[in-house]
Amino acid sequence: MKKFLLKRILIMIPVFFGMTILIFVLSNLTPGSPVDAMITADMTPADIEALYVRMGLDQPLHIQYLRWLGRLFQGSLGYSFRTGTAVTGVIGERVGPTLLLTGTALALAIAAGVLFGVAAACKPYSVWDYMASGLSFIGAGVPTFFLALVFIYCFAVKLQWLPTGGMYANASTKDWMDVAKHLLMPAVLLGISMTGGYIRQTRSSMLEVMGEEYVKMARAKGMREKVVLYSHALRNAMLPVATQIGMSVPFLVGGAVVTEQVFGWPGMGSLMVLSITYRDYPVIMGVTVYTTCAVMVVNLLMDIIYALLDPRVRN
Amino acid sequence: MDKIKKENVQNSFWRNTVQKFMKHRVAMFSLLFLTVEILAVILLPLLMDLDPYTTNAGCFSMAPDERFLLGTDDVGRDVFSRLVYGGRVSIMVGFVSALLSAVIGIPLGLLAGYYGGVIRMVIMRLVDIFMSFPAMIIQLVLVTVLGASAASVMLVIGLLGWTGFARLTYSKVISVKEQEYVEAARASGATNLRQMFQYILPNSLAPLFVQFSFSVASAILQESGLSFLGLGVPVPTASWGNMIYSAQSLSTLVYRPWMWVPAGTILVATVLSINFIGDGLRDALDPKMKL
Repeated sequence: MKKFLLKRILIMIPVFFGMTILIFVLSNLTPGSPVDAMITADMTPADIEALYVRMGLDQPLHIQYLRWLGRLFQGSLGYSFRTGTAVTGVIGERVGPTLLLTGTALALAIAAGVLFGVAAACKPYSVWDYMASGLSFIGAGVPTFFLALVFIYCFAVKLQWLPTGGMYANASTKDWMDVAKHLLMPAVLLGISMTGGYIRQTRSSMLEVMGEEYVKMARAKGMREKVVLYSHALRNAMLPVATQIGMSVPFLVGGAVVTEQVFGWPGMGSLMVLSITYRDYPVIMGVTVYTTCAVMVVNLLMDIIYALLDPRVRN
Repeated sequence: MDKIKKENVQNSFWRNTVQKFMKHRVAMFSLLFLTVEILAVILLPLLMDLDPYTTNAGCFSMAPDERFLLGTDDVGRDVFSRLVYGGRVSIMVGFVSALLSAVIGIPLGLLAGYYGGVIRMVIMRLVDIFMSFPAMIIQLVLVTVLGASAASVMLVIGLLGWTGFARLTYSKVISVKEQEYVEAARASGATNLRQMFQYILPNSLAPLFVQFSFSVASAILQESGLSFLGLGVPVPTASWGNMIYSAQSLSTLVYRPWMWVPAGTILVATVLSINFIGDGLRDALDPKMKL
């Protein structure tokens, strides 16, 4: 296990550098430099030149990249053009809501994916099977924002069961029931957009595992069908599902941008869209760095879980 | 003699595929729907007097009537004309982006699979890097840098979608290159390029067609997502995504459904039918294919 972990972390190093180089190149493509915000009317061209030198912008690109990386490790992402405060702070207050939304959505998607996938595999052509394929087609073919509009129309406007958007009815009270009410629609929608892949993967790997010798063996020993299903088949069928979940995390982040925007959820996705409208480049790059790193860490965690689940991977 | 035999074998493979595909009713119906739709968005502007840009004074947000089949939007433009012209843009973005992804991904996968070693490592590591990027975020940044236009939308979707093609080509190539006919070609002195493009690639194409269809559907969805955020195809050019964008205002959502429901419905129908065609194609080519 130690050897596996070491190898996995070593693989992450080139991936990390590749990603940060790409992001650095992107942030250099964005118009305007950090110096622009500091120039005042009484500065001479020589002063501005000196400012460039002080900021290290006269250095070759690879030196600039290393310095940028150094600042990144110290947690400094620059200052927002829009609010004038540190980017880390602006992003910091958005992390919680995004984690709440994406976490709930992912949990719902996995639960629904496994339930429907197993049911569809065990009882083909049953109501469950049809519901599973229906759900996975909606997930694959209906854009989240369109479904969101339909949901808002039905449940918020016509039936008035749920609020149309936001996170609190009254921001000062922060009542948990109230947050849950606001969370329900966006989380379910984001979950639906993710669950189709999980259903299909669970279904096909369950069908594959059910044909294996050890499942036949368990049945031959006279084990109850439930035990065979859940403790022999499902545990092994979950392995490819775990991979699928890890691979879908980048899409979860993307889906969160749209969902947060539709529902006015105060997370990093809506911050991204807001920052783009204001051309607030430091925040845009900050969100990009933050989300890619988060995705990388999640991928690492998923690989570790995968190795824990399947001893064959470790060797 | 041998040539005739070879052609017969190939013909029967594709004929078989077509026959199997035609038995897949949903896929056939989807193909019909898509064909009619593409013909409609191409031909309707030539046959009818459609004007998606003129803002008709005094006709803001009008409900559907005889003059405006699907009503007008909030600045008085004819919704039906915009739906047709928007279809041109959305479908074109879908196909061009998917084509761009294929053009980048297939040669990379072919190189990685054929040569192996360091080339394989570099290319497949690059695939890993791109796959762990949250594509949507990078697309948003790129569109901001490049400026929003139909061309930049196609570019950013295409540039981030090639990993699927590369992985699939790679996995197919490593099995195909071990076949006897490739070995025979190598033995008779075929160059590397000739082996790759004349022998290996044509025999790896089947799953790539399936991937292409799913890619088109996904690109159409991504375009609509970007446009819905106001960062895709910019107005006044119509696309289905930026037509639905108008429903971000609650009063449009509730009181003026003709502005967003038709665009949303046709978008869903298109994406679903392309997915069904992909499914049918996969079942016809190889039901065991994992895609």
